[in-house]
This record gives sequence, C-alpha cells and structure tokens, in this order.
Amino acid sequence: MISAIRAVKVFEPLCDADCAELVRFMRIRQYQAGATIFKRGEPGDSMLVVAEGALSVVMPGPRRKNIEVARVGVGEVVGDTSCIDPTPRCATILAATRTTAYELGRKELTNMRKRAPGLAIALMGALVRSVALRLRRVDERIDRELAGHLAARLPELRDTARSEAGSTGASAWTALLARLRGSA
Amino acid sequence: MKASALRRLLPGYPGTDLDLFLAATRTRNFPAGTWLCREGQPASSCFLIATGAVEVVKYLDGEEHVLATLSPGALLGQTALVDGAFRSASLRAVCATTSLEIRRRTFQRLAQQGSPLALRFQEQIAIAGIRQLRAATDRLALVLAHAIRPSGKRSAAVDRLALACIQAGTGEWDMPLGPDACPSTKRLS
Repeated sequence: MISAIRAVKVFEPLCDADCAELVRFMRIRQYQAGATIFKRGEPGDSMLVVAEGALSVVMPGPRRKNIEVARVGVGEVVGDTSCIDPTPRCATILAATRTTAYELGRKELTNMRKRAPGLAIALMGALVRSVALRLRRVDERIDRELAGHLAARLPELRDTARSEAGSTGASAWTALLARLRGSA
Repeated sequence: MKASALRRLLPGYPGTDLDLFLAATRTRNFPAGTWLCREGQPASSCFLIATGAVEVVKYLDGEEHVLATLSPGALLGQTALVDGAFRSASLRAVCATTSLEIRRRTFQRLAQQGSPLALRFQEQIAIAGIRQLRAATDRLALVLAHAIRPSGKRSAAVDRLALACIQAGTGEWDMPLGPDACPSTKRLS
C-alpha cells in the first residue's frame, strides 16, 4: 500500500514516514467495472488514489450522451482539492475496470489534524505545491488562448483608455479596466 | 501589539494561536511611501497589515500600476511561506503602516513542531489556492467555449474574461484571514 502512495505525484514532497502514516488514515475501496463512484453535482469531500485498475472521468455531452474526458490510472488522484475544501463534484467518476483505490475523506483529515498535526501540515504543503503548479499551467493556457484575441484589440483599447485617462485624471490602467468593463 | 487587538484582525483564531502568532512575528513600522517589499526580490516572509494601508504596485512597460489597496486584516505574500519564489509585485505603505511579519524559516519551524497555528495557516493557504485554481479552470472553460470566433468579430464575452483574469490577478493579493477567506471568487462576484 505504501508503494502505491509513494508513486503518487501529489505526495512527492512527503517523506517515507509521512507516507506510512498517511496510509493509516486511508480506507481501501474496491469497485466493480462500471460502478459509479462519484456523481457530478453531488457533494464531494474525499479523494481517491488509484492503486489498481483505472477510473473514467465522465462529463455530460451533446444529446444527453456522456463523454469520457479522462482516464485516471494507478498512482493518480481524483478529488484531492475537495478533501480540503468541499465542493460539488464537477464530473462523474466511474470504475473503468475492476478497481482498488485508497480513500481519504474530510472526517479522516479532521482526525489527522488532531492525532498527527505534523502529517496534516505536510499533506497541506504538498497539496499547495501541486495546486500552485496546476494554477500556473491553467493561467498560462488562458494567457495563450486570450493572447490572440487581445493582441488584436489591445491597441484600440489602450488608445481609448489613454485618452479617457487624460480626461478624467484616472490612470490608464484604471481606464483600461473601465473600458473592458464597459464593453463586457 | 496585544492579543486583544490581534483578535479583531484574526477573527475565529483561538487565544493560544493569537499568542503563538505574536511570538512568531515581528512588528514592523513603515512610514507613508516606503516599501514593504519590491517586485522581483526573493520572497521569504508574509505580512499581516495591522494598521494603515498598503498598495500592491506593479510596473508594466515602465509604467506604475496600483493593482489593489489593502487595509488592516489583509495577509500579503503568503505563498512565500511554502514556496521560495520571487515577489510578483511590490508593496508600498499608503500612510503610516504597521505590519506583522512572519518569516518562512519561523513558519517552517512551527510546521515541523506540528504547531496548530502553522496548520491553520497552511490550510488557509491551501484553500485560497484551491479556489483560485477552480476560478481559473472555470475561466479557461469559458475562454475555450467563446474565444474561438470568426476573425474580426468583436467579442464582448472575451473582453469580460480578460477583465476577470486581470481581477483574479489582483485578487491573489487580497486574502483576509477570516474563516471563509476566498480572494478570487470574492472579487469576481
């Protein structure tokens, strides 16, 4: 079980002792192929680490058909953020094959805070690093997607914003924001 | 600073955490116009504004832009406690300002000791990051849904997104330490 936890990228910053202790707070779950594990829209407050098998991430598609948007394999995690900050599940999770997973829920996390605060701090730290990395990737992608649109619009927006800034005494930045707000 | 004054800044913190916080931080006074930290410098501490006000300043194309003005209770630069990156903006005292500064080394020592204060901080940093990630993911989904339009066609939806992205950028600097701290969604709502 520890080797499965050790292989999880999110848990990379944890030392061996932390991983061994983390396992003690997790529950083993087994699912038959096709079983629904989480339903989109239902409250979510636990994470799953895949030890054997694979999970299928499913989203509603056109004509009420479900589309598989991702596969989650051994050593990968789903729901790691909802464990710390509960939120409705944003996708449905099915067992793609017969699957064994380790679950860590909010209740276990509360228990960990009391009984092993050092581990809880290390786990939060590992999640902060992972979230920061993912946030950077998403932001870079947004920048790339918006770059084309804004590159075409920016000269026009900037000129208008500068002239507005001159007339109102606002900074060009404030005027640019006001301009974007106005056109939104 | 006394624990009673700190209680107003950190509502919901138990008294033992407030005492720990005071012991772990150093009080720093900044006259109006002086810098708490500068963009590009290595980041090794975060600040809780106790009195006064602080501007978040960024230079773009050599021009100064004030992204946000923050008041007592705001925590600034908190990611420095877990990630030794560089300051992404400068912080300037608008008027005479007092801040409580906690250094990464001190925070790490508290974390190693399993201190409840370190756990509370770490959890709030995690929650703020998670909510920023969710907001960013929502924005990306909208961008992908709307951004690809016929060339030359003006898209108000994408302008709105550009605004949301800029606001989210400034939102990351404003994280009050209340029980429901949520910078990006608060600013985007």
